[in-house]
Amino acid sequence: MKCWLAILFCALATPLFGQQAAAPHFRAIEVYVDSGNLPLAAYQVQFSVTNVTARIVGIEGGQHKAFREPPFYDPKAMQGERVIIAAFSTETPGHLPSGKTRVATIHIMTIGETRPAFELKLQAAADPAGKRISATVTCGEKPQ
Amino acid sequence: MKRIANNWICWVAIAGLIVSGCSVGYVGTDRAFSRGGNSHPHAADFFAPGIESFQAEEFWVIERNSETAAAFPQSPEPGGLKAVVHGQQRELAVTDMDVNAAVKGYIATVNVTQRFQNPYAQRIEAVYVFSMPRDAAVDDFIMTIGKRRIRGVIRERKEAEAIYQEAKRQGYLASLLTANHANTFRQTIANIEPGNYIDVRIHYFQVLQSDNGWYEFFFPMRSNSKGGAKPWSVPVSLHIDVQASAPIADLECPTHFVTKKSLSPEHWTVELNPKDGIPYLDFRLRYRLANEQSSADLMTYRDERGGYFTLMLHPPNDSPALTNVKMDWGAMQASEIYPGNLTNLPAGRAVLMAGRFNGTAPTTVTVTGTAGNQPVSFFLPVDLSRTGMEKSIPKIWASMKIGALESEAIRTSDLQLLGETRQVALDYGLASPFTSFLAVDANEPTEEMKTITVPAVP
Repeated sequence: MKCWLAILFCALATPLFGQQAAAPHFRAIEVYVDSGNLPLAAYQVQFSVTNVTARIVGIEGGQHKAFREPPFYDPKAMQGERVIIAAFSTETPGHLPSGKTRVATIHIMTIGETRPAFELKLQAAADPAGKRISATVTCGEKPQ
Repeated sequence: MKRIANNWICWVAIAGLIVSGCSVGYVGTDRAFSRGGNSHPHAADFFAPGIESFQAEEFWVIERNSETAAAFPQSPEPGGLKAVVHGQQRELAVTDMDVNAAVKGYIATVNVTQRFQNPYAQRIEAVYVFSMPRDAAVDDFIMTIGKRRIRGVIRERKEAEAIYQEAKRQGYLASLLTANHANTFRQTIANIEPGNYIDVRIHYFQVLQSDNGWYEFFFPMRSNSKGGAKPWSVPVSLHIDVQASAPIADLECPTHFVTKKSLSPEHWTVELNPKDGIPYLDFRLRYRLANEQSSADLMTYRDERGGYFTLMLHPPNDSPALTNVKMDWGAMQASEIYPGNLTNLPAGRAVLMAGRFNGTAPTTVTVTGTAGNQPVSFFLPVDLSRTGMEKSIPKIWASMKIGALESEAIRTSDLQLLGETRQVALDYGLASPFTSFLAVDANEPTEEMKTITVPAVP
């Protein structure tokens, strides 16, 4: 009985490193949302690595107190090695960030020496009243 | 359906597993419960000074049965916290533990925060094996370093273990949470630097046990160690917010000194008394409602994936067991219901069901059965145009589906069911025998020093 369970367990294991000669690299990718002069109360961002094999290994909160708690992610989307992160804050406008603020850091592991390229999509940003606002999203690798 | 019949394939697989160190299976029932006996530490060993009066209370010693131990070769290690230093295990203490629970009706969501500190002059790896309540399902995990918080991500187990080992090798702070079996977990934290501390917050939910009208919240205070249970040696703070569906008649804690406060007849808070800050008994809190309990309690939730429900069936307290149970879900358009083969309701004990639904209109759920020789029916009006806010309901359904799939896989030897189990755990972000939570701090590697490994001792 236990034998076939063992076989499946082996079969389910993903050979992440087995056929890769190159060493894995760990990288921290900082994600910024710029809401101009409007307070940012909520956001939803889709992030993916486009040119190398990558695994998301952790999701960190942002710099402003309102977004210090790590954003939630969609576990189903992450199986395709893209992550949709989202967070909201119930703080009053005076206690919310405006301008460019780091909302999250996505920790990844990449395979190979190629510098990774990223695709970002701001799916939503909102003010404290829940109204959609115009904003931009950017990211960059934190130097080690 | 794919069945494995050739023994040699099994041996090859087992050999592979021994080499890789991975688990070979999962059995849902992993513990034997027995009253305190001669082969276990004496009950007095578990009691803190000042709580001798509880010795008259029923206590249980928990042990693994031999069948399960054989099925989980990866987890023979004793419970507790250890540090690994130069490959040797040393003592390590969890310096603080905070438990914050919210009970709504029969569902509890719990945050447990544990602090790990490195008292050594070298980096260490902390290894912590601990128990969770039976049927608890872990769905979130956050590692805190100073003011920075990193949420763990759910990964296929072998992949998570491989990434963790690579991060550890490269000197990054990393943490891995794996479910060893039904309710024992293994937490490892690599590369904790000298003098530093790391907080790990685990979130889980559980369905309260219900017996003769009492709902019971349970939290294990003792580590589950080889050869018996050992008390924690770490101060624990515990806060529970209880919101019942109706006024509460009785709220009691038979195991610890607590402070209770009523915010309304339905809403109470409970704090563990500081006198019991180093507890020696598993914590139990139970309540019952002032009014006669309804026969069934349905909770619904709907999101972009569709509708989910849980249904707690309470047979009348004074009735014999209900047999030949049949469910009529009315216009709920219910599907994927677990357990799928419910035919009996034991006397006095509630049974939980979970399922999906598509219906949107008001309807009535009908339960019929036989009590003694008498036909019995009860009816539950349901308004599906309004669904609840309890976000854990889809995960409770997923957790019950995982349990059902595992049982069915073991019964039928159908390998595809285990693949489906893994997929459900990944889709709903649940720790399982096939999935683990992983968090790596890739900001920068810790300073290059020789790593030592330490299991954590509570």
